[in-house]
Amino acid sequence: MWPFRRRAADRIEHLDIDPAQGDPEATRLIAAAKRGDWQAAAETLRDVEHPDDRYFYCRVLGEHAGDGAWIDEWIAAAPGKATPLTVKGLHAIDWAWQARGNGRASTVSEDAFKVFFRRLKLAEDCLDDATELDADDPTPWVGLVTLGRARQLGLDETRRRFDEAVRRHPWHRDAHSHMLQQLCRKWSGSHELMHDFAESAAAAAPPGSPLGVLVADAHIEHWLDLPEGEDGEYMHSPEVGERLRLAADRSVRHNRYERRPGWAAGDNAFAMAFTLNGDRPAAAERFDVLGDRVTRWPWSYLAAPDVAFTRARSTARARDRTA
Amino acid sequence: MTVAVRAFLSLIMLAGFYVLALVQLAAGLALAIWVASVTTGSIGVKLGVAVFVATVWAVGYGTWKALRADGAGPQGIPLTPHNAPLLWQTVRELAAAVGTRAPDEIHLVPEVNAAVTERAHLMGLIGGRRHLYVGMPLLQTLTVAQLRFVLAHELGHYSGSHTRFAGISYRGRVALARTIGHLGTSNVAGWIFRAYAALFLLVHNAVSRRQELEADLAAVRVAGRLPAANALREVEVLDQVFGFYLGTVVRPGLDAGYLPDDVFGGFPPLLRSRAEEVSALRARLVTSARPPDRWDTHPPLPARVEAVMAAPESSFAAADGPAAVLVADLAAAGRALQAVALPAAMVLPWDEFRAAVQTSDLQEQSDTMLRAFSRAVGRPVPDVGAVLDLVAAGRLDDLAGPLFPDATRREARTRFAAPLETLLRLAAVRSGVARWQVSWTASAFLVDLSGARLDLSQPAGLACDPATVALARQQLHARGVDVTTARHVRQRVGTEHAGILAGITTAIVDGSRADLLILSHGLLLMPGMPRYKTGMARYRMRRWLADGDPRELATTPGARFIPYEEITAAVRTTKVRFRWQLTLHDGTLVEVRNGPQSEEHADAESVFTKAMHDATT
Repeated sequence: MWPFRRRAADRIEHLDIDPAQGDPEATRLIAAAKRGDWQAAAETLRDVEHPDDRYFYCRVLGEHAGDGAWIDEWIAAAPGKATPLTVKGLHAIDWAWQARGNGRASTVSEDAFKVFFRRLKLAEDCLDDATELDADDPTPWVGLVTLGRARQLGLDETRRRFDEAVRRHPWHRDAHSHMLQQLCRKWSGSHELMHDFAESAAAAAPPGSPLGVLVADAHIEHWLDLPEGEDGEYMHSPEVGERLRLAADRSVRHNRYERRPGWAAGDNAFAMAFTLNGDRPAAAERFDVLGDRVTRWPWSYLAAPDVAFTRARSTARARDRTA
Repeated sequence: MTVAVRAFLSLIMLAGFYVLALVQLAAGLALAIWVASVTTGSIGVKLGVAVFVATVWAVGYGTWKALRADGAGPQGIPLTPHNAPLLWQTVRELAAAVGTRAPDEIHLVPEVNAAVTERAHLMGLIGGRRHLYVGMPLLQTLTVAQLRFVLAHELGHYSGSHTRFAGISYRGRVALARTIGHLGTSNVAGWIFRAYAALFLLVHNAVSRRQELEADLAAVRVAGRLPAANALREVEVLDQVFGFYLGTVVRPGLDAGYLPDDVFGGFPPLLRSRAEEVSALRARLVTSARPPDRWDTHPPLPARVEAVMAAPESSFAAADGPAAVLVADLAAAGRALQAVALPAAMVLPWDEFRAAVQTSDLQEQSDTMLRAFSRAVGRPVPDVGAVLDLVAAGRLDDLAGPLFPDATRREARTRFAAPLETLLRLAAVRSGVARWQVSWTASAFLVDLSGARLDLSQPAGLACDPATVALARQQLHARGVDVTTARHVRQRVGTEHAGILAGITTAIVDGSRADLLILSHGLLLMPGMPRYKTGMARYRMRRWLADGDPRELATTPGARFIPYEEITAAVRTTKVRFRWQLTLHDGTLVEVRNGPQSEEHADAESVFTKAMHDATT
């Protein structure tokens, strides 16, 4: 074998991860957040009606808010408004995770945990206030679902919060994906609970709903939890492939599926799930839809997300080669 | 081991200690002279003085203290042949049986133990007046047969002449301990003394273990094997249970200023009410004794039990029945003992005592909360009525926040019902509509006038919301609870019941010299000693750590007490030194640091760090 051919085949291809996922509004919001321009942020958010979009935009704002001082100005300038409090709450969640780091609990120092929990408490106070100021908005409730897990309040409390969110918008994309996280084995749930939740939500949702993505999410979480060897075996099984294809048919592959802001995460999940399942045509189809819209999750489970993404993409597209 | 060998060993080893001091002094001085000959004379003199201080002074100090040490027996009351005729008769009979002279005095003592002493003369070569000490709990709970073994065991120490040289051996140990205690860890002479002391203790304790077995075997001959084995086990069990009794029943009462009218009388009922736990403890003691250790003064329990069971059976008939019959009126003797052995306090009948302790505990909890509230709102909160006023005025978050620092506002509001119910319970007691139901088997609880368990959770829940606090007031009023009767008594936490954990001499607090005492619930700053008296400061600190009374110390002019609960932030301002900045609740800053002459006692710096950590989280 030619040494340089081998090198060419393993060439690492990097991509930029766009937190806006190519959405122009989100790009504008990120710029506003970085400038600390709350007027522009408020202006952009004013007309956003769809709950999935509201959550995506608020979270994007929160994650790029820097130290978040400008959000306090916004809160002071708009007394009685829920939106800035929601943004502050989501920012505090992100800020808390920055203190904690993404490792397992055993890798986190006592001091880091203290800061983590203090910031989560701040987040919850903000989101609690937001729910009181705007009783109809599910957005703060989604943040509260995340907090139920992060603050270890227990399955029942997180489910109560999830119920509050879906009471306001039954097919809330992110309320479901955060609830699924709580049901993972690593967060005190179980594989059974997680799969049941994903399958029944995907089945109950109208055709073309993004909730089908939950099935892919669940299989990826299950795969992650298994020891080396067993994980590949699990993902390669025909049953998993079957479930993935059915779920994709009802969601990302359905003709009524809408690609709303933040949609790329769903196709990325299916792309990775199909890759791990060995269904290269199905994976390639997702990659074609995505273009270069790589998202951090779930690729970060494999390696550097962009590298994992491009490597999987070239494997999927190399149809002439045997796997 | 024979008496002669034992005396010889003790004397030789003690003498060796002084020889060791002399050798060290001689070696040190020789070094000093050599140093003086190769350098200047003044360095040699300095070294010579240092060596002298390290050896002669240290040993001299220890010996002087030891000679003054008096092996005084435990506090107790005499039991005379008149008030304990059967006990005396038994003791005399047992003394004759083990072949020794009966004691001259018998004392009743407040502990689970029996002991003998002898005021020997001429360093133990001539016998002296003999005292026998018998623990009150043993008389209350053992059978006659078991107590006979315990008494015979102690008398066996006499017949084995174990007590004869106890005096000199005791003084030897005290001299060693004092000397070692006086030596700093950096004193090279101290390392050698310490090693020698360890050797002495090893030998002493090995002898002591032999003597215990010897006394056991002497006793089993007159008491029988089974009572002997049972007595050995029971004494260990009783020791633990009595400690538990004093710690959980009597101590909290004393802290609140109360004592039951019959402290010892409460022990047997407690023992009966905890029968299950006691038998579990008994089983655990026999099966899971820790392995023998060369530092033990007594052999492990299983070994002692095994030894007495292997001894020849006694020809004495085992007398059954409670040992209490040996003293004419044991209950009266117990009350007399209580009068001399326990500190003064308000004496109440048992039921009233337990109720008073519960109420005092409730008041203490309420005061702690009311102090937190008044710090939070920046003004006095004189009673529970004022708490409800604050809730009605929309200050609920201010009140609940400090009690639940980890909770969000919404969570704290909900959880606030529990502390509020505690406050309302105090109000119910103070209004005379609730009283304590006490028993030996269950923890105390409050009942209302009808005798039903007091439940104030509903008004407490309602009082956690400004919208329903008025309704809560109505409900309380209807039940006869006047919230203004639950008053804020202790407005500021003081040094009462505090323990001294550690100390730093000649610390610098806000720029001036002060001795820092770290107490169980605050910092006590004592005015520092002048610069030229640092040695006195060290001595004073040691005394405080040994038996200082914080309450008394706090009354010293210039002393300042900072309760932990008033410290809102504590920051160590430099990693390399001991230097802290404390922020008190009222905004005052206090800087505490080490000075050039500071010395930490009892690991003060880490105790301080932990205290600050606990105080601010």
